[in-house]
Amino acid sequence: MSQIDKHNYEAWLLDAAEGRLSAAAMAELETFLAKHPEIDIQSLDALPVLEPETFAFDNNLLKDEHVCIEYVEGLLTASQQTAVENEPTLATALALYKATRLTPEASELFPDKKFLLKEPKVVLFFQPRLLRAAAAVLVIGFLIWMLPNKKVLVNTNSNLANNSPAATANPTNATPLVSAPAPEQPRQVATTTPRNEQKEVTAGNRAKTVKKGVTPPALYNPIAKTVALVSPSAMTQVAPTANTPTINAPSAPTNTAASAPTAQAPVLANNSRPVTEQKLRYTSLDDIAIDTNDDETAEPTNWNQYMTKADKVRKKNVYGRLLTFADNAIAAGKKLLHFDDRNNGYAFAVRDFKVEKH
Amino acid sequence: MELKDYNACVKLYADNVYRFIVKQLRDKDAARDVVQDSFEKLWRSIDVVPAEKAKTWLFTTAYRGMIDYTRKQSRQTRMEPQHEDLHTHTSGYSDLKEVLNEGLSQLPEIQKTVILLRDYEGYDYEEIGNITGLSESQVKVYIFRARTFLKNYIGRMEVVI
Repeated sequence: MSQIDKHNYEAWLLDAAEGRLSAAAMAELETFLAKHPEIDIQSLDALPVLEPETFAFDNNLLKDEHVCIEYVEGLLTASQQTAVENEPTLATALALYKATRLTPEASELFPDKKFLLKEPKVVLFFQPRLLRAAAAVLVIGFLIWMLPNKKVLVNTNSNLANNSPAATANPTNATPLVSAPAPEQPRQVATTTPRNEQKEVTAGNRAKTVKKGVTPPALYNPIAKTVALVSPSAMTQVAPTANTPTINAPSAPTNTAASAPTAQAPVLANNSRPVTEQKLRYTSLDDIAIDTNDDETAEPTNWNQYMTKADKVRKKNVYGRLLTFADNAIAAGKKLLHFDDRNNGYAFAVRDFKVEKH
Repeated sequence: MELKDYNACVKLYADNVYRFIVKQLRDKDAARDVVQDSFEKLWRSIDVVPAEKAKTWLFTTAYRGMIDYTRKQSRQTRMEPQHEDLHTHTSGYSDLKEVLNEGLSQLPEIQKTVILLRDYEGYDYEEIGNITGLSESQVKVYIFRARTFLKNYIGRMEVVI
């Protein structure tokens, strides 16, 4: 603080009145006032002093209101509730507070409730797009079924035990294994072939199945021609051996052209074995396609042997080779290649044969 | 929450949510929209909302939807002044319920919301706070103020009646 003088002594006086001066400053102020008796120090006592206000609060009223609200809100204990109910001064207020309770109007209902409810998910099948697709498939299937069936179906019956030895091996005398049904008789399975003209050798036991379910669409011939059959008279029935199914020429004791598939009478015609079977029966197409017989030097007396090892390994052109095999056999006047693939539900045929779904 | 729980929510709470909203908006069409939106949101969130919390979830969503709606309405300029309130009480009050409803309509929005949740649905202060985003003490203060206002309003109108 600066030195006291006539110009600032009032500030000193105010500080003194509020008790903010130190003892030394107070002594200095008193010395100054003593030197200047003209200063009216009595005026300091006239300074206004604010007194703290006293507020008259109606605690009872507030408490009453508060208690009534607590009563309505359910915040009081049972005894407190009883006390409030029995207080005559609170009766009116309590009644009014009780009346402030709102009650929902039962008649006010949400009108769109049914639109909010959800149904379980519809099964996919009943979706319109799928329904149309299913209908189209049914129509197409029906039309196909109605088409005249020109297929010549393979007689898969392998009951050849009654093969007559008087039958001839001349292709011209061959009896069709099956006959094409008339158009007005669709899907009729032809079983007109005399069973005594058929022989079979079961070869399924010698082959190992590697992969199943291979169906060659390229070999599917919807219009079957004729089936070359070996005359029963040219055949000599032998007991079928499971491990060595054979298709033999009727008169060829030795085979020197077995390795030439394009020969007029290859493999089958020149087989040295006696003519016994013109029909091979396989238990599965896989038996045809895959064979574990690695002996390539052996005479290919049947399809399994006709295939080369490379064919089997690569599984390439298997059915093309099968086709050639069939050509040669047919040229040799053989009834051949009846693949009765009952395991997979159909019979397999090449060229003049058909694939028949059982 | 599964489909059956959702449908149960529709049957149990659709009316409650609707009453809660329509009482505040005083516009049935707008209330229907808010309620429908709330249930659509519940359906979209059916995998994340537990069935036992669906009711509170619905009221929370509806409350927020109502706030959004009122804000949009407040931004829109009305072509004509709204006179609907004038037609609601022209012939005086026939009973206490009408008086109470009129007093309710004059409450501030937040007080109206909390007291409706309290009386209509019986929610406690904490649940009301969760729905409205207020603290428990705030909810209590608003409810007390609302009751005081309604009590005074009823008292005044009773004298008139």
